[in-house]
Amino acid sequence: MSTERLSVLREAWLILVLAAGFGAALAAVQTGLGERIEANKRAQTLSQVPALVLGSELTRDATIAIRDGRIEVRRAGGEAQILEVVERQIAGHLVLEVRRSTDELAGWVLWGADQGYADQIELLVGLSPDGAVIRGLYVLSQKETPALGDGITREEFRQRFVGRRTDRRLQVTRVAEEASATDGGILALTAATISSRSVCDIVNRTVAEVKPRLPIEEDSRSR
Amino acid sequence: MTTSPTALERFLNGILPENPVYRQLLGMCPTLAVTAAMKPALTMVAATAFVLICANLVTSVIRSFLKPHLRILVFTLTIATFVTIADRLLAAFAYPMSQQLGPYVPLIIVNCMIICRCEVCASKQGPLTALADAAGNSLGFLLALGSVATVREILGMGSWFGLPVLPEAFPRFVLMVMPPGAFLTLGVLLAATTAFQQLRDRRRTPAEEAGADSASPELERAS
Repeated sequence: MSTERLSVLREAWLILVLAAGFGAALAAVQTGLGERIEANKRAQTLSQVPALVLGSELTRDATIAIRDGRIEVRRAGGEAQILEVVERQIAGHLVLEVRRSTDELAGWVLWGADQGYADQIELLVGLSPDGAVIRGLYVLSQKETPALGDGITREEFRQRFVGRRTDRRLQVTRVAEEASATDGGILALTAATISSRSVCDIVNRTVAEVKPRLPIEEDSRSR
Repeated sequence: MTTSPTALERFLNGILPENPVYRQLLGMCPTLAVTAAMKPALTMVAATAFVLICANLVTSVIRSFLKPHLRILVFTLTIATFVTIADRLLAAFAYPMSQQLGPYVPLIIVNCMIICRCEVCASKQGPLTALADAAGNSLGFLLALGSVATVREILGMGSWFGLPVLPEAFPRFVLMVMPPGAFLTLGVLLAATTAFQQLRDRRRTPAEEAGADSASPELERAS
């Protein structure tokens, strides 16, 4: 071994030892907590299901309880509505099939993720029973720039996707008139066009990959 | 030749005389960003204290092996590891708060306060002094974030830790829970602490003045 290589090793041994030790510690933490974190994420996903398939208007003041994969939605002074969730894996995406207690299909929730401006963005997209219309959008996790890109989590931005048809590609625009004039125009967040575009791209790709493979029932096509 | 401060001096200095926020203007990002309410502010303080204590201890233990030109790399590696552990712990045991804090927990990696304490104290003194220094600075950080959050939450929402403290009739200043409210509150509190310090300095006897001067070069180097 040359003297130069030995010198590099002499310089770097502490970094190498620390990196190995810290790497092992992080692996141990992830092994120990990974399952719990996933369970938290799942509970958060399930708590968003009612708003994503029934619409945020119907669930705004409702109490939501989750038991054994069944979601109970109780509005003040109203009867409780039970939603049952069946998980599927379609084209690498987690897909939740949501049914009412009457076995009627209530809608679909699709999970999608991709790179945002700062880090990966994870989304949930709610679709109508026939998969033709977006019923809701929820940002499951993101690390976009505070006060700029993290505006993708605000309801005001998410509502821009609600009611859009899934047979048209959504496209980000910076001009409000363009967004309202075109079917697929989504008005970008001011100074956060990349984050807005990332959300749009994730929705487009998730819907394009999953929708053709959804086991949509014939009677729900006309609904 | 100057002697290094003792563990007790390090501990006490971190709380008020060298308070990381009010005296050294470090850790401004979390001070401005997560102090709209007490709960997120205290969670941020707990995460920062965990990282600071662990990073200071590790740096102090390995200080005799540190090469001057590699020390920043070692500090960064150490801090990043403990930040990741803090982030995972929050995601596992306080998921809603972890979601609320968003990117601010990972951003502890670039908190100058932590790298400053590793450089100024932990890389030069023993584990006990490093621990006392980290504890003192964590308390100082708690004092700073707690005071800003108290003013903002009470004036902005009329509550403290989510509990109502102001009568319904008292007006709520929504501006206080928004970003400009953070700047306003920090500015006013900073001015108040500086004025208080100047008042104390004027009242000091010459002997006390000489004692205070001996600590100031380090404070200046740190900031």
